[in-house]
Amino acid sequence: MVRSDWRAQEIRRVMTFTGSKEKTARDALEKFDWNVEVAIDHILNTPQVDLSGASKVFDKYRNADSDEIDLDGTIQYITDLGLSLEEPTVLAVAMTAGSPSVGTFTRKPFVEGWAAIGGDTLPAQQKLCRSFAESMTSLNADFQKIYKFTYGFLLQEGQRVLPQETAVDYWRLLLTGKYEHLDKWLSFVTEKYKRNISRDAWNMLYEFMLFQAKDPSLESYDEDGAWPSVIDEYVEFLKE
Amino acid sequence: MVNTPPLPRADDIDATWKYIEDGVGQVLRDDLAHGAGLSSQMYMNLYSAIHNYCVSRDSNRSVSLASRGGVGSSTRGAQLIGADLYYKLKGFLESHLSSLEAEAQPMSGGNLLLYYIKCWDKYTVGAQYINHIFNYLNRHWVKRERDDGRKNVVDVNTMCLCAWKECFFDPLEKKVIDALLEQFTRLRNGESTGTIDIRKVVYSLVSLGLDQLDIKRVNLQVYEQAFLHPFIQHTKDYYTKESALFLQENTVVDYNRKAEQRLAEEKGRVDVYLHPSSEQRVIETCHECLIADHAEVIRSEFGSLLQGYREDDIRRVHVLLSKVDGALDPILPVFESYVKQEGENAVKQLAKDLTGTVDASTYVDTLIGVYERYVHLVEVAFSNHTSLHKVLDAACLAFINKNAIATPDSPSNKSRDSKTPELLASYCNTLLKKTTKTTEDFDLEAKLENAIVIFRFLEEKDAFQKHYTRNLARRLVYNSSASDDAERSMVNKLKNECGMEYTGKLNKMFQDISVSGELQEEFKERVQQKRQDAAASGGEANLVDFSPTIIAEGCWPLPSVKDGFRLPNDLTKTYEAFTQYYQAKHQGRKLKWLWNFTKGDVKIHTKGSKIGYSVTASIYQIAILLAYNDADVLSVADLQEITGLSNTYLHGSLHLILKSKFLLVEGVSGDPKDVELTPETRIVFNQDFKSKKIRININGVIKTEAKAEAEETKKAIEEDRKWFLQATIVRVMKARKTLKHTALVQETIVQSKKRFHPKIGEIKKVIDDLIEREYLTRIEQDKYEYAA
Repeated sequence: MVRSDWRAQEIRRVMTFTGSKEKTARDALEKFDWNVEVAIDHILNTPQVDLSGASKVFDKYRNADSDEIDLDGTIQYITDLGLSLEEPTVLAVAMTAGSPSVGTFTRKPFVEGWAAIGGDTLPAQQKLCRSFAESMTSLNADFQKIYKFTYGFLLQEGQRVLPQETAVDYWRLLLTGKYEHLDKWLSFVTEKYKRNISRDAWNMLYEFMLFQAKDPSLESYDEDGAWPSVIDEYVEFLKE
Repeated sequence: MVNTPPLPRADDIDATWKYIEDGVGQVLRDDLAHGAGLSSQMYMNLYSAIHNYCVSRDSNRSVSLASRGGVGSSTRGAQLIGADLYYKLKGFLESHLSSLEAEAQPMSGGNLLLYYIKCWDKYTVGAQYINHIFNYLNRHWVKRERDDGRKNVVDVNTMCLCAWKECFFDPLEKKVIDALLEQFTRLRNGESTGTIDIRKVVYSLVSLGLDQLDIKRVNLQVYEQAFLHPFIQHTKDYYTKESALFLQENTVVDYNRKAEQRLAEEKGRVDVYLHPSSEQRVIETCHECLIADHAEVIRSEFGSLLQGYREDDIRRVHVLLSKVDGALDPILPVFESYVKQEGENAVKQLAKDLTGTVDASTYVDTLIGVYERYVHLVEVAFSNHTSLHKVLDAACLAFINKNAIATPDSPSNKSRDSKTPELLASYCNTLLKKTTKTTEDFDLEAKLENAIVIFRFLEEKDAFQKHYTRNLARRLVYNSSASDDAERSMVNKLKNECGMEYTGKLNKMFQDISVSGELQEEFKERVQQKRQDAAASGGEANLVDFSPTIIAEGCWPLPSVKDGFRLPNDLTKTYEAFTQYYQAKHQGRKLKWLWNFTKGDVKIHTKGSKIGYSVTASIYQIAILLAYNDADVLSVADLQEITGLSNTYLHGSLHLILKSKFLLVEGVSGDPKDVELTPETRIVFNQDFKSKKIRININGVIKTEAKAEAEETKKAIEEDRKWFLQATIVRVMKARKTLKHTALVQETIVQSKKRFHPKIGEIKKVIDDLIEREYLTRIEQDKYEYAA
């Protein structure tokens, strides 16, 4: 991100004065319209999150060479959290810890993410995982965040659309028990649609599930509306 | 000489009045209009008597008179006198009129009117005389009174009219008006009204409308109150009754005729008998009783009139209904759906009678036929009414784009794309192509004009453009255009309809052709030269006549195909000569050869023919035929080896030659169509070929190729549309930044309309694609943002 010089200077001033990180300084400045005094007051009056605990957890699983948690570390970490790789809670963990892609955690988002919600120790994180699991039992706003996060999380480098098989696997993982017509959707995707899944299609499926829950007969569905074509085709498939 | 009595004394009112009364009485009694009347001496005397009286000064008298006249002014009295005379005259007139009125009491009807007219004529003429006699009074005493605000005093003529109204007309009003209305009933019934001057009676009422405040102003109050109101009611009653009765006993068509006639009559009557200001109200009343009250009945017949194409009756329905606000509206959808149905039926009939494929000319002529039939009706029977044109257009748009032939109800045509654009293009092709039949120029022009008429209704103008361009390309490269003028005329017409952009490529094609013409000439000379050079050195140049057309890639919808073709040896020298020539002329240009659009003439000699046959064939066929210079029998595999052609082109070309019988499948004498060609099939040259014709064309369209091309055109249209929609959506979003889904779809449809009518599904697919490619972002469930 390119910033003009004066902004960088202001950020540095705030950082020097408060001893805060660049992001904290920038966030505060942006929040208060680049008023340095107010930003400094704000930072000093906001209790600083202690990052050291979460940092220790990270250190335990990281690969020393890259300062990242790699695939092996991830498997170990997930196991230690008391989770299996085949449960949706893992995606909540990935989102919380800002995992860039499957099997990778980087230090900064991991530490900040967990610290922000009090996951300073492994047992604390385990406890949080249990509450994640509870909140993921229905189509609610928290779950929607995780659902939307999942798409980008699954994309591999250079990919712009999600391969159909991956999408199907994760739909199954995320939506089983939450979307009544999941089987129909999956058979539509695999037998009829047969294409890869765009982000828009992924996101709009969520909206469609909510819509369908309200109008199971789909009488009020408007195929000229803003639904992407894949949903139109799905509705046609359902009605046949 | 009439003896005139001497003038009375100026200050003796009784003597003066007595003197005047005699004169005025004479004026009113005598038939002045018919020659009798006052002598000019008498007239002068009367005038003088009044003058003398008015100028005689007697203050006592004047005061007392002023108070009698209700004037009540003692301060200024002596200046002008006359009130006495004025009121005496008034009294005299009133009693005169009352006696006339009493005489009229027993009369009624026509007699009363005749009497009224007689009295009126006499009285009004008399009133004018009296007015003159009293001129001095008018100018002085009356004027002063009015100037002082006593507006109940009016000039003598007006006073006469007021007296007429009060003492004669008012008591007789009901009888006179009844008698008048009775006369109008007689007129409407077509009965005679004798010598009664109806207009005079009516206009007498106009004269009676007097505004005391401003005497000169026309005041129609008496006319309207006493006459017009009852007249309107009378008219209403008359026509309400008549129309109801008439409709009970006659058809609606007859009724319409009657109503139209009645309206014309009534308009004529108003002109003759009534004040012009009444026309609108009277005519409106007639419209109400004759049309508005029966609008539904009138409309009910419209459908069957259309069915019978009864121009004049339809015209009448239109004329009548359009006189009443909103009465015409309900027939618009009837007309629209009728024309639409007619169009659809005509095509359905055509489809039913059809055996093979649709003939484009018959199809387009059918469409034009329906259009012309109803456009004529709109022009003639509906006097070119805009609303009718509008619904006609809507109906034509519907049946021209969608009908049993354009969009047949079959599973194979799921996309429901209309075939009309293609058929119309092929109609144009038939017109513009060289044929054995010559079309008259004006006829051709008219037919091209017809094509444009249909073109205007096309929803998918882009599809027409594609097909038209493809056909034109063939006409140009095969040099099969009938007339350059006609070609250009048509392109001009299209340009006028759709603008430069629509025809840009077409013009580029014409340009290529004319440049190629020059090139061909030049190359021909070069070939001549080479032949001469070779002959001079005793050899042979081995060059054939060759007319290449050089076309710019991308402007011409002529696909190059993977045919694997190898040019026969006999032609390579020419090929090389041309390549060399062209490369030298235009360095750096790359030549691609479209063998699939190349044809030529060969001479075939058989045993039976000495002069041989001139055969026009595709270059593929020529290559195959040339192979028989060296052999009599060749297998399909051999031919493939020699020509290099892929199966599609080899088999296709062979089939056409087999059909011509120059080549035969060995051992098969039946229909060559049924023969399955395998690599082993042996093909022999037919030495016994016989034909009466010397020139034979064996070139034709290879079926599979035609099919592939149709597919290709369809795909090209789809591609173009996708591209166009993308560009449109991006342009719209760039301008609007964020937009709701429905608004974006609407805007896109509007902007595409001139080219084609996009389906919402198509637009949505493009939106999907643009979101995926991150030109757009979905910022709400039904709202997008421009992202690039």
